[in-house]
Amino acid sequence: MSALLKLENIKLVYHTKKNETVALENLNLEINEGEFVSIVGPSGCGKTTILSLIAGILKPTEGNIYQNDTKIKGINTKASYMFQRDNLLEWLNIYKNVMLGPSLCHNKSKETQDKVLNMLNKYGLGDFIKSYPNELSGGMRQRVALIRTLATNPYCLLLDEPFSALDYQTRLVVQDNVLEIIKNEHKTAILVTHDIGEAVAMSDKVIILTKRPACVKKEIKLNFNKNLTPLERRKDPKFNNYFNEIWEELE
Amino acid sequence: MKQAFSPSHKKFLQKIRRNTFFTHFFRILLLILLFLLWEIIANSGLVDPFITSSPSRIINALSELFSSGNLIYHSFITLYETLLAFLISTIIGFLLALLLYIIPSLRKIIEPYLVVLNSLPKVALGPLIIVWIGAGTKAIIAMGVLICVIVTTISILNGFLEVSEEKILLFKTLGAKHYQILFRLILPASLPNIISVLKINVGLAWVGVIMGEYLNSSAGLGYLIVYGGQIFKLDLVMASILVLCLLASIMYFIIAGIELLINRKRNK
Repeated sequence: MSALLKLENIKLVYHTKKNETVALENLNLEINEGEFVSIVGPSGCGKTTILSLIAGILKPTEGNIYQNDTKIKGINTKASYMFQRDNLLEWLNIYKNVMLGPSLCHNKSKETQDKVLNMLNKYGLGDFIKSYPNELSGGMRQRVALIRTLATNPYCLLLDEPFSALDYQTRLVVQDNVLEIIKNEHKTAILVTHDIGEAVAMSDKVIILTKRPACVKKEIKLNFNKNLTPLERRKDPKFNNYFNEIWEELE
Repeated sequence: MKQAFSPSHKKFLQKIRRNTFFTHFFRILLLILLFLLWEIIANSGLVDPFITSSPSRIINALSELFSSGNLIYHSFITLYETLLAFLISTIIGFLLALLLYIIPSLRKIIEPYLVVLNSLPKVALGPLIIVWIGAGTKAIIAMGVLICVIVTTISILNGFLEVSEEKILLFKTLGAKHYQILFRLILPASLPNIISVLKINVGLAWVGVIMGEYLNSSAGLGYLIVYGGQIFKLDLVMASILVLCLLASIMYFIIAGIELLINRKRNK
């Protein structure tokens, strides 16, 4: 089976006035359909850069990115971003916020509308369709942001530390919610995080990067029982083993 | 939402209400006391009311102005000039900011010019305006526009530039075109900023127009003030200033009301 996403010999150089920085070098990465992959690494090693490359916001200096064996050119609207902040638009109600992607692409078909309404109802936001973002709690806002990224029907979700702005307790709950939604909708997801616990609790596979210029240091497949939620995984004895393994790799 | 409050909460609300009343009461009292004091001192012979004027003399001047039709006439002219200067400078400033936002290279080229023009006291250009445009209403409006337009451009542009990069990125990854980012993100996101720029602009438009009227005019409140000063009719000067105060506040509060409406709609 060929990978859904394939990054091949990627090199990326940032140019600033003072000097140039090689952020990524010789990076090879494969992500299969339906996988939840976390990327961890020393801070400033270019984790977010990888997401920007997949989203098509940055072009690799060298190397190619393939999606189902076709090369990605320009902005990749089939991969959708979720940020640390929810970035909901304060002047639009929840429904309009969620419909932002479809309405920008002029694709407000009945089917899309139904799908979005369905998701809002299913994930506990049905009563807030007409509400405005500032009436919602942080956790709810992040759920709205997730549904907004799902509304364009992407094949892959790019999660850029989406939980780090939440307080610890909310974070654990939202991790459960988000993973449930992603699995329900059968999406592939790439999570960038500096939180090892989060990576172990949520992913099928953890990719550890080296220091800059970053390449893949190690890939660790996580073998948890399939039905465990992130919270339940945290109680599993394997959790600590994986945690320590990753911790040592990062040392 | 109607709810039964606990006695302690009722007490709390009562306290807030009492505080608000207190503030309003003393605000008005202060005004009355100041005018009263002014009147008493002027009448007592401590100062010469010919120089300091007094509330009663101002009222007389006002009623004289009103009955001769001059009050309405001069106020109307100044109001008309101010409104035009305000509208023209807002529109030009907005369009200029938009242009500079859309074309970053132009923005970089123009930036130092904006800074210099902003720090230049625009009144210094008065003689040039009169020579180029000719004395009269047009020159006065031009003065008002000159004073407002640069600040408007800079403030609105800064508002555009403050929209978070992440939101722009979000729009891009959702497949938004450039014009969509502009109309559906940048403009709505900077609406509160634009309104607050308008609030500053109203004040500046009055400054510009009065300045213009000082330089050259045969009508308007600024003209009345200069004229009153020249013939030593300080009652007339004070009366005109009072009317000016009133008109400027009304315009300010209209804009502030619009701001409140917009904010309420957004954050209800």
